[in-house]
Formats: sequence, structure tokens, C-alpha cells
Amino acid sequence: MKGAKQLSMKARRNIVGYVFVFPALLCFLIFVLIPLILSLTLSFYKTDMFFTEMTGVGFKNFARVFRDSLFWRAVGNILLYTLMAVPLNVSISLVFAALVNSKIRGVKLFRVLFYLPSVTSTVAASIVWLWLMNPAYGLLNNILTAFGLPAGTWLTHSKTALVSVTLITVWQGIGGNMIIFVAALQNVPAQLYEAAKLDGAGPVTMFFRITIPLLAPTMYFILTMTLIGAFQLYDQVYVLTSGGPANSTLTPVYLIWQNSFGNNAGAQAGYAAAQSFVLFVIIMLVTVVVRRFDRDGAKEKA
Amino acid sequence: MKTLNKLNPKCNIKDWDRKKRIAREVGKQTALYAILLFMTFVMCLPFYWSLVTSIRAEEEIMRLPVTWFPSVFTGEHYAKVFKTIPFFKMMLNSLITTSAGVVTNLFFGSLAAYAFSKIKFSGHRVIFNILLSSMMIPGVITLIPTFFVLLRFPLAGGNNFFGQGGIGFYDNLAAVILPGAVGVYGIFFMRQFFVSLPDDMAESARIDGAGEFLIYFRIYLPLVIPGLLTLGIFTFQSGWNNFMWPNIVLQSPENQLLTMAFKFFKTPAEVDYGPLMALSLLMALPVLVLFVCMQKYFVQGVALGGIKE
Amino acid sequence: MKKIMRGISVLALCAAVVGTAAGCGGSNANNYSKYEDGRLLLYIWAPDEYAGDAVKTKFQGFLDKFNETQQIKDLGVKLKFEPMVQLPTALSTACVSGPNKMPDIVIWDRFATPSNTNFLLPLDDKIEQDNIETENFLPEAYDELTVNETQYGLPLDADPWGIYVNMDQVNAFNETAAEGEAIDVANLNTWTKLLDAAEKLTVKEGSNITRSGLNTTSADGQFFSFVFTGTGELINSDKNSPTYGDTVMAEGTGFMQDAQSLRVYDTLAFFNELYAKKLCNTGHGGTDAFGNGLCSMTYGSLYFPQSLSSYKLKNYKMIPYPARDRTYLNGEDKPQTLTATDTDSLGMTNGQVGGMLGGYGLTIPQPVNKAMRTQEWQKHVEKAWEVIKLWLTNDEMQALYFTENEAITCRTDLWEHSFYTENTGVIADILPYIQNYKMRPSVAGYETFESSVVRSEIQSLKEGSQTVFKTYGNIRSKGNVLLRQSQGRD
Repeated sequence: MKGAKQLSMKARRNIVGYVFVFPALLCFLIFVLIPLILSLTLSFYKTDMFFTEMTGVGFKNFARVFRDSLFWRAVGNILLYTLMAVPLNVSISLVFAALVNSKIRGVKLFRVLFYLPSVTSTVAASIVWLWLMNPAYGLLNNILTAFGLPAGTWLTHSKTALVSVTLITVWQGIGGNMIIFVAALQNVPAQLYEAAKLDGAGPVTMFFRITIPLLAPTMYFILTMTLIGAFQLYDQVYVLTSGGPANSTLTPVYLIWQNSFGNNAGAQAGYAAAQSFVLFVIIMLVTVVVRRFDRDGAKEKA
Repeated sequence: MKTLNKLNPKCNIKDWDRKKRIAREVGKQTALYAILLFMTFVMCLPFYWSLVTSIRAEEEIMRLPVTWFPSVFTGEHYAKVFKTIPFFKMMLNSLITTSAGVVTNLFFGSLAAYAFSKIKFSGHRVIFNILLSSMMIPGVITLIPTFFVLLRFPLAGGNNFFGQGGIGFYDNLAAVILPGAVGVYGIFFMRQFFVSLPDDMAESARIDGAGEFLIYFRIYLPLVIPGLLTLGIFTFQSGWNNFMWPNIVLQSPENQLLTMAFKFFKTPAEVDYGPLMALSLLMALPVLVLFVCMQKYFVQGVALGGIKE
Repeated sequence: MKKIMRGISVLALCAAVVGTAAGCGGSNANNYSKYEDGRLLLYIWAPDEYAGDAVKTKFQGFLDKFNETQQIKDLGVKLKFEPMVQLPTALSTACVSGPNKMPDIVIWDRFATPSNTNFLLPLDDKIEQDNIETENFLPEAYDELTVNETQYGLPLDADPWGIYVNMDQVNAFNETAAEGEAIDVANLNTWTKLLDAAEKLTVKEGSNITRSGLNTTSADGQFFSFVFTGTGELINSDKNSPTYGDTVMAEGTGFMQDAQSLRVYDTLAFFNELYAKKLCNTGHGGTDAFGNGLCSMTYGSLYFPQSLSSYKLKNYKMIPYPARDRTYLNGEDKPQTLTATDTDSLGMTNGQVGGMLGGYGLTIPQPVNKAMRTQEWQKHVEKAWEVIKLWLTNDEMQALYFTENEAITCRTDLWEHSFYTENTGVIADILPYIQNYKMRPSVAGYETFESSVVRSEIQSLKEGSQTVFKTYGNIRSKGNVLLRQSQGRD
């Protein structure tokens, strides 16, 4: 009798649970799962984006991806970008968070001011930076030359373009991460610092011995999200460089978009799908490696 | 600078030691303020520069040497923005898509998050992990198929039940709203909040015979409002940023979003910086206002959620 | 908290209402044909070049007059024009969705025809049926709209690219120049003379270039014009691979024995020389630099003056790209100048002035899905074709078009029109040379070849990170792979 009642309660709970997650699952099904399967199918065909003529080509599209120097150039670029942007973003936002978490007058204002870049849209921010980095009339070069420094080439030279894009994305990305760090810092019990202070620890020691270890879970979260975001770099490239100069800022997402909907898409939809799956695998691999690395690091510290 | 003056300690010092300590403290604070001010300069310089560019006369924009203040103020660039593009229509479109995204994400996201953390139906762990790992899928993978899903959406835009005959959600704001209606990030984010709340409130309410939706809506939801606000801001931001996808599915100028407007001033032949700077400031304004109004709850929201793995 | 809750519910309600409204907005998709003053509205889409203020105003001016002509009224149509950002993308998605969201006529960048034939209506039947005198059109421009012997449009304008010279600065230089040192813009017709003029016009303060003699920041885009003035070609005649021949590529000994390869190589070497001379400040690449006198010579299309109209500079001249008279066969640093009658070691003479010809065509888009090509759409097509015919083949209408837009028509039989014979602007500068101009090859994958291979390799050359020889080799090998792949031969 009791068992039967429990079972019915469990059944009810299941029904309610599934009803609650139903909208989320429906959205996932229609806009992630089904397109994903369609895209996978597409990657085995030679076709344009209209599917007017579809010819099965087996693994040819994938074979082509591996021989496509442009795609690997883009992958190389995005790896380099990630390597620059993610550590910069995470470390600067942590430092900012520590600074705006200090208990001084007006700190809330600074918090808002540092967060401002994050609330502007990437497109608008990119346009503003394009202007700032203008080699002749741009403010940056004029500041540099005013101090007697040589003017920078910024987005116009293949050696500096990716770094410039990194600067912009970091400028825009640190605000959001800073806020998450600030929140995490407020959860760190104040007694820990007081105890350490009594033991004669300085602020730097405390930062590295108390703050950072306690922030490990937050760090892990931020690192993963920033990493996944970094791999999808597109807006800034679209506005600032269109992948140039000399393909130095070409990113996989930009390339795939070009092959899918760009000006010269032609009969490339199947190939673009294959490219995007290879990118997916790369992102997964990198994320797994970084997670493992991060987890090991966290263990060591603990 | 004003704040610095306020910090000056009242000179009412008796012993040297105390004076020294205070001096050190003041020095430290001054240094901290100096750093903060410098960082503010770096972070806000682009805003200042776009403001200056947007209000200075056209011929002054491209004149060397560059000056920090405009000598003549003009509204011509703003006027040009309003003249060239249907600005308010675009702004309205951006607001509609963005706020619709916020509402659906907050409601359905928190509903699912509640189910995942408090109802614990069978399979909740597996489903949650599947959803979670889907965050790694780059959006471009589904670019072309999603376009067709929307185009062939049954019973939409003149389509019949089999998705034939009409244009589905093509060139319709719904094409931007629907794919992002329930984001996995939102579910993940809200779950953190529900997990940190005790289960027994739900248990006792269930014993009292309360319906599950009421428990969610009346008991738990009010407790996670800071989280909802924070997620709201994040979702608003990403919706406001939306660029690649609207470019593909929205075609008529009266259906376009603000993010797509800059192209009207940046043609292959010339880049018109005055209106562009005006436009980017106008674009930033609503989010800025929203953020400043909500910033009190914002940090609090993230703090309460405490992202734990 | 309660207040916030209430706020959220209100917001939710609003969004729900608005969302539903947006959803419904799409369902009234059946008002395809729209009328104004009893005339059927036909929509014309144009690329984003038309979104620029000056160009847009001019074109709108033409359209307003065109709409008021009796012929258009008799057709019972009215034309509306929309410049589209990212035209091929917008057009392709529209053509997938069906007639409702499609334009009726598209001002089409001819150069992009080969990769977009799916959604352009073949016009051969109509051309034949209406006996269109196709031989009146500039043959190269007409052929640029031909893919696999199918005609996808008719050419609208001829847009030659050339070099724009700031005459104020040239005159100022000439006033103080020693005898024989003056710059003769009318005869700036060889690579050597161009180089010389650029050096003379460059002003430096120490190592800082305060005035650039020649804009070399975007010279990569001008590469094709220079190749043409060396009478070279970038694509093999079989349209499959970049450059001619299968010469063994071995540095030093006897490479590039065939003439076409030599021309491409020489062009690259000439660019290398230009870059090495440091005649341009990186910041002096834009329209503004030329308009503000920071750069004495720059590149531009026939429509460049429209972008220039808002700047102070009024005294400028357009010249065609000068002819190749230098060869670098003996080594990149030992250029050998050829006089007009000289031949180089391969027996090739000088090139000729000219350059690359761009321009638009008028096309009619079609729904990709055959089932969507409804009767009503056919009706629009008939009207659209009548408009195109009127616009391009009626002399009076064509004259209205080119005078309003200050364009060079592709109707070669109209080049004697008083608008051209009495012109004193850049059209008068450039029209005498137009027969020398060439089109880029219309080959699938060529655009990608140009944008991601050629431009990027030249950028590397400019930055000094690779030699001329390496650049040439890369263009050739990477171009081969890319063209093979995009043509589905790989």
C-alpha cells in the first residue's frame, strides 16, 4: 500500500519535472539537436545553401578540411588568440575585482565604470576602437607620438592585428568576469583575512594564499566560459578586419560564416558544415585539456 | 579629486606613531585611488572619444593634430543617424527581441532550473549534463539548418502544417527570439541559486498539498530574485549584442536591429566616423541606463548565487 | 522585492504581447503585389556601395525622373530602390524564402555572377525574343554576366579604376621644380614615371612621412590593374589555375620562361619596389587622406569623386594605370627600364595603359524552389524585364541614367553622346582609354582567390616577410588548390 503510494508520488514528480523542463527541452530539440543532425548530414554532401542539388560525397568534405590551409590558418589564429585573450582577461578581471572589492569610498562608482565596456554591444565597441586605432587620426597613435613613441600599426599589419583585436575583446570582456569575481570575493569569509593578518601576512601573500585558492571554482567557471567564448570570435573580426591583413585575423567562425552565407558562398554549404564539425571537435579537445589541467592545478594547490 | 579631499584626516594627532600610521594609510589610499583613476581612464577613454567625435564638426574629425576637446559643438552627426536609418524602429526591434529573450529565459530557464534542482525527476542528471555539454557546440554549426527550420516552421508566416507555402519566420523578429528563447546558460546559472536553497521548504509545502508550480512561483522564485536580475542583465546584454544571426534572417530595413545599423555608415568606399560614433553611443545608452539602475542588485545577485562548479 | 516582482510580471506581459504581435506580423505574407497610385511597385536592390550618401542621392534622383517618364507610366509600374547591406547574402536568403520577400530587379556586381547563378534568372530567351542588340554593349561587360553560355543579366555601367592625382600639389611642385624635373600628369603613362612622380610628391620629416606620394596601403586591391597594364593575366585560359604555363618553379635558374608568368612576377616586383621606397604613411590610405591633401595620388573607381565631394580638394585628375616598362628578370633590385620600342629578354614589349574595369549589371532574381515560381511572380518578371529593356536599350532613358549618375554606359554606341563629348570631369580623363580596360576573369572561386590568396600574399610582401619569388609561388600554388576545390575538381 505504502509502496504503491510512493510509486505514484514518484510518477507524479516525474511528470511535473518533465512538464517544467519541457519548454527548455523543446527549444533544445528544435534549435540545437535537429539542426545539429541536419548539419551533420549536410557535411556528407556537396551542396549549396539552397539544397537544390545534393550529391553525396562521403568523407570528401572532411578530407578537404584537413587539406585546407586557410582553415588551419584560421584555427592557428584562434588558438593564438585564445592563448593571449583568455589569460589576460581572467587575470586582469581578477585584479580589477580585488581592487573594486576594497572598502573605500566611491568604490561602487568604479565598479560601474569598469563594467561599462561590457554593456556596450560588440559591434558598437569595435567601431569605436576602429576609430581609436586609425593610424593617422586615431587617438592612440596621437597619444603615442605625443610621448615620443613610434606610432603603432594596429589593425593594418599582420603582426599587430590579432593583438589589437585581443586588446579590444579583453577591454570589453573583463567587466563581466570582474563582477563574477567580486561576487565570489564577497563570499570569502572575512575572518580568514583577519587571522592571516595576525600571522603577519601581507596583502600580496593573502591574495595568493587565501583569495586565489578560494576562488578556484569561480576561476574554473570563468575560464571555461571565456574559453568557449573566445573560440567563437566573429563580430569584432567582421567589423574590424574582415579576416585581414594577410589572413592574420581570420577566425574559423568567420570563415565558416563566409562559406555558408558570405558573398562567395556558392556551393559550399556542405563543406562549411564539415568545417564547423571539425571546429567543434577542436573546441571540445581544448576545453577537456584545459579542464583537466585546471583541475590538476586546483588539486595541487589544495 | 573631491573624494580625495574628503579623505584628508582631521589633523588632531597627539602621538607620532598614530600620525605615521595614518600617513601610511592615507598614502596607501591615495595610491589605490591613483590606480583606480588610471584604470578608469583606460576603460572609459573610448567612451569619451566617441562622445567627442560625435559632437565635433565634420571637418574637425579628420584634422591634425588631434585635439582633446571639440572647438565647435554640433548635432549634425546625430541628425544624420536619424535621417539615414529608421533609428527608432530599429531600436524598438532591438528592445522587443531583447526583452522577449529576457522574459523567456528568466521564466523557462528558472522553471527548468527549479525542476533540475528541486524536483529531481528520474533522468534529471543525464538531461542536465547533456544540456550543459551542448554549451560547447559552436553556434555556426547550426547556422544553415536553423535557417531552414525557421523558414519551414509549420503554420508560421503562411506555411501549412508541413512547413510549405509561406516564408515561416524569415524576416520576422520571431526568427531572432525563438532560437535563443531558453538558453542553457540561464538554466545552469539559475540552478546554482536553487541548489543553495534548502529542500525542506518544498517538502513541507508538498505535504501541505501545494501544487509544484505554486511552490516554485510563491516560495522559491522570490528568493532568487537577485539571480533573476543578474541573469536578466546578462541575457539583455547578449540579446542587445546579437549580430550574426539577425544579419541572416532579418532582411527589410524596418525589421532590422540596431546592431545592423552601422553598415549604413561604413560602406566599402568610406567610413563616416561622426554618425558612427553617435550611433554607438545611442546604442549603448539603454543598456547603460538599465545597468546603472540595477547595479545594486547585480553584484548581490551574483554573490548570492556563488558559482560553485 | 514585491515591487520588483510586479515590475517583472508587467515586463513579462508586455513582452508576451509584443512577441505575439511580432509572430502575427509574419502571417500576412500574401500581399505580394503592392500598388502605389495604381501602379505596381517593383523593388530594386542595390549593393551597399549605393548606401553612401552621395551615390544614394544621385541614384534616387535618376529613379524619380525615370518613374515620371511616360514609358514607365505606360508600363503601369513604379520603381522603389533599397541599398542592401551584404547583398548576396540577403538576396540568397530572400530567394530561398520565395517571391514575397524578393526584389524584382537587382543591381548586381557583375564580378560576383559565377558563384551565384542559382538565384539569377537566365535571360537568354527574353534577349532572343525581343531582339536585343547585344552587340551594342561593351563585350567584356556583357560577357561578365555570362556563365556556362547562359546570360544572367545586361550590363549597366562601365566602372574603370584609375589613379587620382591631386593637381594642386603637382602644380605646386612643378612651380619650384628644376627644368626637366616637372611632373607631366598627362604623360604619366609608365610604371617608371609613376614611381618617379610618387617620390617627388612624397614629403618627409626625418623618417616620418607627412605627405604620401602614392597610396600603397591598399595597393593589394590594385594589383589586378597593374597586372593588366603589363598585359598579364592572373588566370590560365582554361580558367583552372592562376597564371599561365607549367614552368618549373626553381629559384635562380631559368624560372618563369613564359611571358604571362613574367608579367605577374614583374608586377609583384614593382610593388616590392614601391613598398621599399616608403612612399606612404600607413594612415594615408583612406578617402579622407586624399581629400585632405595628405596623400597626393591614390586609387579609385569612376565614382570616387562622389565620395570626395564633401572634401576641400576640388582640383584633381584621374589617369589610367600606367603601362609596364620595367622588368625585374635580372633580380628584384636590378630593375631594367624598357623604352617603348624595346623588347625584354622574352621578346615582349611594353604593356599598355589601362587597368581593371568593374561595374554593375541589371538582373532578375528567381525563387530557388521551382514550386514558388508562381503565376503572379511571372507577372512581376515580365514587368521587370520591360523596365530593364527600357532602361538599357532605350537611348533616351539610358542617357537619363548616365547623365544623372555620371556613369559611363556600357552602350558603346552612346559614347558619342554630348554628355561624354562635352564632359570636363574624370569621365573625360578616362574615357579615351576605356578600350584598353579589362575585366577580372569570371571563374567560380575567383573572388576567394582574390580576397584570401592574392591580397593576403601581397600583404605579406608589403610587410617584408617574404620575397617576391615566394609571393609569386604562393599565389600560384595556393591559388591552384583553391580554384580546384571551389570548382569541385578536388
